[in-house]
Amino acid sequence: MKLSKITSFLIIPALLITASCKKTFFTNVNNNPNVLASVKPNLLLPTVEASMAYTINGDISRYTSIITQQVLGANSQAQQYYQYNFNPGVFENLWGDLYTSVLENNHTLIKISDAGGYNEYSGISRIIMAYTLQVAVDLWGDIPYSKAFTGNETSQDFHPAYDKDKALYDTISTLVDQGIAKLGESVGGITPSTDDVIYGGAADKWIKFGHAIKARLAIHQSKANAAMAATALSEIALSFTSTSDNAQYIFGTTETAANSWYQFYRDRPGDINWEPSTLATDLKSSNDPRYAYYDLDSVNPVSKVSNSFFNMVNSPAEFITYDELQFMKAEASLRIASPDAVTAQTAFVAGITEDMKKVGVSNADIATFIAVTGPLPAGTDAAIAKIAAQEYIALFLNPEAFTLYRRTGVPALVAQASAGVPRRLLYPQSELSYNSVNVPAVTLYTPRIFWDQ
Amino acid sequence: MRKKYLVLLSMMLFCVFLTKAQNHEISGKVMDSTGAPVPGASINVKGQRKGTSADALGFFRIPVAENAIIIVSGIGFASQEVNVRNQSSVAVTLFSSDRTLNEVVVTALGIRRERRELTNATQTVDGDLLNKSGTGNPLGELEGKASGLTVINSTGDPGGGTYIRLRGATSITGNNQPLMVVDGVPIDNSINNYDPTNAGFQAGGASGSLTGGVQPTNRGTDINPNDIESISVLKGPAATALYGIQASSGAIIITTKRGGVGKRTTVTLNSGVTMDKVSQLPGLQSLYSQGTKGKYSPPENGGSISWGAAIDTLSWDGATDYPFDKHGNIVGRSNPSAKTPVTPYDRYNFFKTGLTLNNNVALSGGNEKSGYRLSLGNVAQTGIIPKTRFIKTTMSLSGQTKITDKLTTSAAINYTNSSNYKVQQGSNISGIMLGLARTPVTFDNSNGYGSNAYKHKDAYELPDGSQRNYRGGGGYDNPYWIVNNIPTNSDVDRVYGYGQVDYAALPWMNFTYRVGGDVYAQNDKTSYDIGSNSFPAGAVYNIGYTNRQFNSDFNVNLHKDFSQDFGGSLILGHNYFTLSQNNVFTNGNGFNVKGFYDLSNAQSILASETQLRKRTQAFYGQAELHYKRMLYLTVTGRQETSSTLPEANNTFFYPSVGLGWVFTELPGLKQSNFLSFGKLRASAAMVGKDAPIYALTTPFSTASVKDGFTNGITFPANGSSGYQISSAITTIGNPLLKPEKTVSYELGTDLGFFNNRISLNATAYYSKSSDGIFQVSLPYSTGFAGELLNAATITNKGLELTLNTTPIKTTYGLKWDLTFNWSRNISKVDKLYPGINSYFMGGFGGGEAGIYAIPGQPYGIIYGSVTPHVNLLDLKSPLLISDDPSNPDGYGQPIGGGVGTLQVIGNPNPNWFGAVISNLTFKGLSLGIQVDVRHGGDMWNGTRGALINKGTSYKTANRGQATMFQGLLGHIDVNGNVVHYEGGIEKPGAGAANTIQTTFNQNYWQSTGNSFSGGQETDIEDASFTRIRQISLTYEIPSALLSRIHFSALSLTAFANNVHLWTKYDGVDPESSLSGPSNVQGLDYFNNPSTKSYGLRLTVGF
Repeated sequence: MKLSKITSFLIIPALLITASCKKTFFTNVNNNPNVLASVKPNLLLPTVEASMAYTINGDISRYTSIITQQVLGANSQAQQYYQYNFNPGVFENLWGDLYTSVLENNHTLIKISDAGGYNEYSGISRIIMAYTLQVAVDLWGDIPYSKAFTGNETSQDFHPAYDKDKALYDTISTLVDQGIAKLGESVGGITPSTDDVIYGGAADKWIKFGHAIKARLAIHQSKANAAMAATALSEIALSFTSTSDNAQYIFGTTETAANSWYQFYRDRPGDINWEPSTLATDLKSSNDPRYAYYDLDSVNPVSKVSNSFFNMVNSPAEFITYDELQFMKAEASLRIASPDAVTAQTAFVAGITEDMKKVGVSNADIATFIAVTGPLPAGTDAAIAKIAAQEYIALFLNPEAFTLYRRTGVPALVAQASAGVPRRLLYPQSELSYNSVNVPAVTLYTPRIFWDQ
Repeated sequence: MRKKYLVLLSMMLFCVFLTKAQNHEISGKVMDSTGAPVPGASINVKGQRKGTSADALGFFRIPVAENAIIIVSGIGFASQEVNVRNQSSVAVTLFSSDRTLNEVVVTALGIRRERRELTNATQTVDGDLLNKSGTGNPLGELEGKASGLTVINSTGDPGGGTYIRLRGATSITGNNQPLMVVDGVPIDNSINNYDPTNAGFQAGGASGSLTGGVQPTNRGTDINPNDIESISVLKGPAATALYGIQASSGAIIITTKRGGVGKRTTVTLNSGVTMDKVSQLPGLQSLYSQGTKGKYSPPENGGSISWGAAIDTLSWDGATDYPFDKHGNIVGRSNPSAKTPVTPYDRYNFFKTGLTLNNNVALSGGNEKSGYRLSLGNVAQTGIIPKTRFIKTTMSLSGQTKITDKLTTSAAINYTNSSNYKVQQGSNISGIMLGLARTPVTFDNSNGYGSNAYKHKDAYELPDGSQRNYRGGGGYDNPYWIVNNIPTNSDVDRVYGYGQVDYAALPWMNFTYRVGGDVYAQNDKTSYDIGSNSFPAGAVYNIGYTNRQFNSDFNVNLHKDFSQDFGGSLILGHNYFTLSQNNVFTNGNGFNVKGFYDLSNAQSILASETQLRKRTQAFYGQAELHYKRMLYLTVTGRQETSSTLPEANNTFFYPSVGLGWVFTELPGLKQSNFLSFGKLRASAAMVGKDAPIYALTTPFSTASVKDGFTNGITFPANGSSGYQISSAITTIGNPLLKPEKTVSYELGTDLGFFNNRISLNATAYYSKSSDGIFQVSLPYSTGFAGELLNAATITNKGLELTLNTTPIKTTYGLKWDLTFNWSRNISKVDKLYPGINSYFMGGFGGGEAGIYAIPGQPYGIIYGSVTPHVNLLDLKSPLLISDDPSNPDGYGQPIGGGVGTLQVIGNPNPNWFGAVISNLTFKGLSLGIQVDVRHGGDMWNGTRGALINKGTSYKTANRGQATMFQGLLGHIDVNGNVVHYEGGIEKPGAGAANTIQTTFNQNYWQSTGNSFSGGQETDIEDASFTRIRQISLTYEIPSALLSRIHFSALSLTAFANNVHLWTKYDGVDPESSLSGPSNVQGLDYFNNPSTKSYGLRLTVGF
């Protein structure tokens, strides 16, 4: 009797012990039900495009437009940046978002697309990789790429080496070529549509974007190299044919899908002002009609956000636009072995016109402005300076304006610090801390990017 | 399968030894000095291991040989030896223990043991000591009550969190807080918190770099201190080895009060009222107005700083239509419209007196076989910050019954309902202290209403409905606007309890089965109304946390005396534990209607869910042998399996061994009057800790994209779902993780002198935690922020001393008890991972002060960029004084800005911590005083740094005063090197000593003299303190008188908490914590202040 009581006492624990003897009793519990073990490319592309847009139109755009004085850092951190008080910690978020949200996700997208034979995604993700790298190389020069993104791969490398900037330009060019080739093949499995916010899955537009990237690579190196200018022209010819081809990301209309400048103005009102930046002052004094359409500060009292073309809730993040290509075309036409002033003039006017149309300037105002500013001066240097001056305006908030400034010295900025206007960005604190064996020693001024010599 | 047979087999083997029959049985009753029964008292036969315990009414039965001696003991009582001779029943009266070394303490798994048997450090805290402050927070009250115990109350906010740590931290990223066990069942002490503007979710109780949001509450606060009988503090792995991974950071074992006091029903009423006042606040200047460069700038200009004109040069113009001040616009005193001179506003009249009402009624009783206790408590607290409040209602019912002589069952169920209104804090533009302390002295947040302003909309809103603050509506939220328009409500419903069956199958064999559960739902809702500077369009965050955990323990307890002198016991057990958490997060953005905080009012809604599950199972055993009440050997082992580890590594074993030697049992020492008790003890133990849940893979999760300034994009967005494999905070999963391991050695002594009038417990320990799982930070160029690796090694060594003395004890009733608790812990992070020389634990990144683990340094040091010195990063070298005349503001002043590689700038771990608890009683009167002392330990006072930069800190009142800074002349060139000018040309290194006269001007204070924009070391402060924690005076009506008026208890206590604080610390409180109850300690950035309180408490029993 005693024993039976004891036995009955053992039943519950015995049941528990028996149940736990199954192998899966423990291992199954550790499967997270709220995540996916694998995804198709159409679930990654929206992330990659949004993060690319948010990073380039966000932190990167903020730093470059402050450095190039398109906007004014008025308060808090932005005020420090306006004095070129940057330290490695400033670039932490930017670099982190770039390498993880944009590039690692895109690296994974390339792998998934290639493995599954999703050719169009293979192509699109390579164009995205090429474009993002181009922006990054122009900001930092040498950056990790060939040894990067191995964190969750068998070839795990915790200290990725840095690739040389010049070699990376070749890598970018190759990526574009590969991307264009993939876009030329059959779609493969899934067709991108609404998940591709940039082009809605239009392969031909992605191909044009690819050529635009190559045009940029070429024009950056064209100052003393007529062949590069010629390459730029041939790539431009294969690229965008109108503003509707613009490579841009149009943000959503909800607060949690809003444009990055809109969010900054909403959350940090007063930190960055449009006036009296160098650009705003110049536009005002030259009666440029874009002054009103660029005006970030014309505050809407309810949302505290202006209705400028650039910081509405669903304003676009511009990557490369048709108007920029026109300015490139104008410049390249003057830099080729036998300069073509006529093409340069036409392209120059087209650049101004397309930019103004895009932001909403009326045709009458455009005509008035062109009549005054349209004619290019004689002399290559003077003409290129004028082209660059207008391109700088058209590249409002676009990181390319910083490259343009360094290439051409236009506009003639008054440096906010005795050491002059920065020629590059610093590497972030995390690279200094966790990749110290590889990270090059730099300042805001040295070394310059290879094309900036 | 093999394991279960092993258990049964061992049990059977042991049975073979146990055959001796007993002669006869005696019965008895155990009472205390007032005649009340002592339920649960242990009764053992001397020289044998045989024992039983008294039932709810103090009755017991035990078979004994004739002329045996029984030893009767109870928690908090001195044990008694009784010679049974040939009696068949005995009555035993126990006297309270004077904290003797023979008292019975509750150890792991609820096993009661005499203190003399213990081979490790365990300290008990009486329940009466835990209910004095009236906050109803039992954990907060533990402060100073035991050595080796660190307790930090994060703020004085109602419901504010309490951080507890025993000895040092053993894990970099894991939870370092002890396991909380109530009546043998582990209960949850998580913090469930979300910071909408910054860090997102705070991890459950451990890491988390919370810097904003609301102050988190740890769920241990749900316990009603009125229900606590005693708390055992199991400090090291040796004491907690039987609990396994959950208690690898020690354990707080709470035993609740039981019913069954006599057949008569007893009702006990406790009623308290407490008033809270703000304790200490950052010093502000009252001389200079809003503005910059000595010029006044009005609120509508939106400026954030107070570097304007001296207010004695300013006047109000008396305009009645000026929305920013009822006295009108501020103009120069010579201005024709000047009317009345500007006088300073008191920014701190924002704080009010908090009030706490604490009521509890307990009903207990029983019959011969059963006992019960029913307790109902309510705490209603309002804070010193307007509108903050915490209301907690608790109900508990416990009971036990003896079904047969051998079968006893007991059970308890506790229900807690709490509702907490919290406000934003910390590094947060909607934080209370941030907006408040930055307010210029020329701006009145209350708009003339003073401390009642929170009741008046026109104090904090302009007629057009926009926010009225000193920055023209932008910048930081007005504190009165915050308390009204950014409410956080946290509502909790919680049930926990247990059921237990004890079966005394044979005299030498007991079975116990206990199953316990802890289930709660917490609903937090934070709303930001339209116009808040954090979410101008309005936002609502509605988060539901559901937590369920169940624990099952089965054990068999065998004991045997092999001879008069030699005996032993064996406990074999099985434990199963399961945890499941479901969190549902809903976020509505963009309100259509102002002031309507409902999801239906949001223009867009985001939702996500998190489910966490975990299971562990363990087989454990404890064997104990004793010889002549002199030598005690305890050996334990536990084999545990955890679901969070990979299959190949998920089962692990850890043992412990302890030896105690009561050397005063030696013949030569036995009768010593001087040394009445002496024991040496030594133990070694190993414990493990498992991995975080779901840490083995790198999956795809819903994407969100942000940057350092904005909230960014959260998917689904723009019509698509989006998933990510990485973001700037993503950790790579590691399928090769193994458990963390801590090996600890402990050596101690317990000594009693002069009949234990003086007793000393001393323990020295050393522990080494290796294979510590932590997120190794990787360069983002790997594509990820880090990977979880078994890499860290941390060592802790320390000394704990407890001295109990009774300096005065007279026959006419005067008695003075004095207790000293002292502890020192030295932690060291030995290594992290090859090539990784720092780990960011929390706080601020990017060069601002953060809490880090650094190899070779103590755990959790403060790390940040520093002011440039002559040898750039060497803080011991002279300051570098600018020799650059092209910047006239900074010329002759130390070069500003934090530079270079981050440096160790502070250590928040104190050198030692001590407490003195004095209790003087005379007849019914008793006077208690507790003084806590902390020596050493740094705090980063980022609050002061920001206030200096903004020009409101009292430090900046010396503006304009001439000075000459000590240091060498030079500056930093474009390459970041120290150089100096010689004839206008830059030469390497610093130059001559500075002789340039300058002033403490705006440039100095804004660029150099603070951590907001300068070196982080500027605001590191010594957080040593001496604090009168508590004074209480109680009058208790003597029992003789009570029985005449038919009361069982009647007492009145007047008490004061946090009465006085001596500290050099310049901020709100040297014990404050920005990140709340987490591993990240030592940061103050606009933390909400602490309180001092005064109150009365009445206890009535009848």
